[in-house]
Amino acid sequence: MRLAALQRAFAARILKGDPAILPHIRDSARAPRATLLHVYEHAYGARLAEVLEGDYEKLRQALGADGFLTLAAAYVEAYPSRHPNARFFGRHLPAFIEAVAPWSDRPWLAELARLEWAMGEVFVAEDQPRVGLEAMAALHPEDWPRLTFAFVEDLRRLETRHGGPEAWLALDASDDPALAAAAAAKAEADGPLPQRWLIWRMADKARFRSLEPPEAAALDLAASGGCFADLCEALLEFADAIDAATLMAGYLRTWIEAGVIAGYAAADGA
Amino acid sequence: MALPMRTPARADTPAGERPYLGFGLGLRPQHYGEILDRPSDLPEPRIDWFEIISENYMAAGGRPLANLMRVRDRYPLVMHGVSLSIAGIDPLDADYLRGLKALADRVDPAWISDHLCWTGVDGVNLHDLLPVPFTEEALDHVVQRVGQVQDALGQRIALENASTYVTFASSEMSEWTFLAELARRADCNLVLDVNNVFVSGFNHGFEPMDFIRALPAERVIQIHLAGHEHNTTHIIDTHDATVVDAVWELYGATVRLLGPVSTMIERDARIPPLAELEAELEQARALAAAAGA
Repeated sequence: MRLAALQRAFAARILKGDPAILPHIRDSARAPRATLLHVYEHAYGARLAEVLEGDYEKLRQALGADGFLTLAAAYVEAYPSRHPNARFFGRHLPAFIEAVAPWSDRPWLAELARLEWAMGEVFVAEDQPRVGLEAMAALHPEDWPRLTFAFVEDLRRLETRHGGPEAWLALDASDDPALAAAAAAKAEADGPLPQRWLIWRMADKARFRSLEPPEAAALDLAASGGCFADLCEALLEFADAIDAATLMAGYLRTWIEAGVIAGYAAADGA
Repeated sequence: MALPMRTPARADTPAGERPYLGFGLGLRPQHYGEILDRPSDLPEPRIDWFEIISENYMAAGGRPLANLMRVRDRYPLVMHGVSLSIAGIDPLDADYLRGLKALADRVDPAWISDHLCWTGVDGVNLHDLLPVPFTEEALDHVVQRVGQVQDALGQRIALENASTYVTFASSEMSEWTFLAELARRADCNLVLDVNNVFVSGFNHGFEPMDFIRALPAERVIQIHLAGHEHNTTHIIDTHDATVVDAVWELYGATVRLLGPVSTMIERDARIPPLAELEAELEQARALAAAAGA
């Protein structure tokens, strides 16, 4: 058997239990070939389940060890790994949970998974320079209205409707999946929906917090290139003119202190 | 006429002048604290160098990279990958090679290694060190790909013998003949995993020293030691336990034969405190000293 055919048959055994490779493998002195091949078949699922366990610790708490293994096995079958680095294997799990029963019956599970994946991404994201408060303080007041902002890449946003992040917090405080489900249900009932979240890294730790509607609106506009004056104007929907500028200055300070602003520039004209 | 300049790299030391780092460990996140933030009244760990799993630090920043660079400031590092798929039939992954090169530029490892294996086919990654048929066809294929990798990285690589559980009817030579020919024809180095020789020897019924004696000694730049799981009919390479006595004996015989070779212990699961691995490493030092290596 040529190398290419052999590798395809071997992979088909691991992925689908295909018997075509069997005649090309020898029994050992102590064990039949099927037993020996099983070492590879077993390792494949076990290794990828372990990768997922590392990425989705809270989801595993929510489902229990056995429940998580059932999910992992279904996902491994549905989404063969296509990246040489196993670190990326779990990236489709939130979408899988959202789409496939029985997990899709509890939509907070997909939100929880989405949050955990985002936290994992920001934790290992490439380092970038960040703007400090002192740089902003050195700016001339007349430059402020025209300032635009660039955000660090290790910043994620999430919108939820089913209390996934509240379930995360409940699981962080207690191992009880029932409490997580209750926290998710309460968040969903209490509203307002959708809830908006910011996920970022500070002091080498992945963090998340909720965003009130004005801050979420300002963040959206700033991320799409709006200048400081535009941001203040957008906040007029939520506050009067003086309060809007104060509110915006406060948000900006929070963002800088959180280390999510990578740079700023004065927009031309305006 | 000026000769083309080559960047001097330690892994490019001429054959016969094997670089020697001493006794090391696989760097694991569980040990960062014990390595980097050690109470001042504790002596420095008796560890000469660390091996990192390349993939864990590729395209990464944040704390993982910061910790790695702090370790890098204090210890020589070696990069050890699991995803090169040197024997695979899919084209070499250019993105992966670029990432590997970028990491190497960052940490300046003493050398870069991976395994003689394939890890997937037709774009599907199986994330395992899968066995190679020891045929002329596979040898030609791997030799040619090692050349491509060494060109892309600008230095020699080292390939490790994997633990295997099956043998192929199509194999035309022994694993050791294959490895020796590969090292010679591709001009690459070897990482000798003594535990893997023991594991494969038991699984396939060969004499471990036949394997080790057949390797080109000057190309063996590193030795791996690890624990395994014995299942009566076959042994599985688990890296989750201490090195067994029979593997220590084999290590002793290996260093008597090869002389000083940079040696390390790999532990990937059930990771104990650093001090336990340091103590285990002392056993390697003692055996090497007794062997005059």
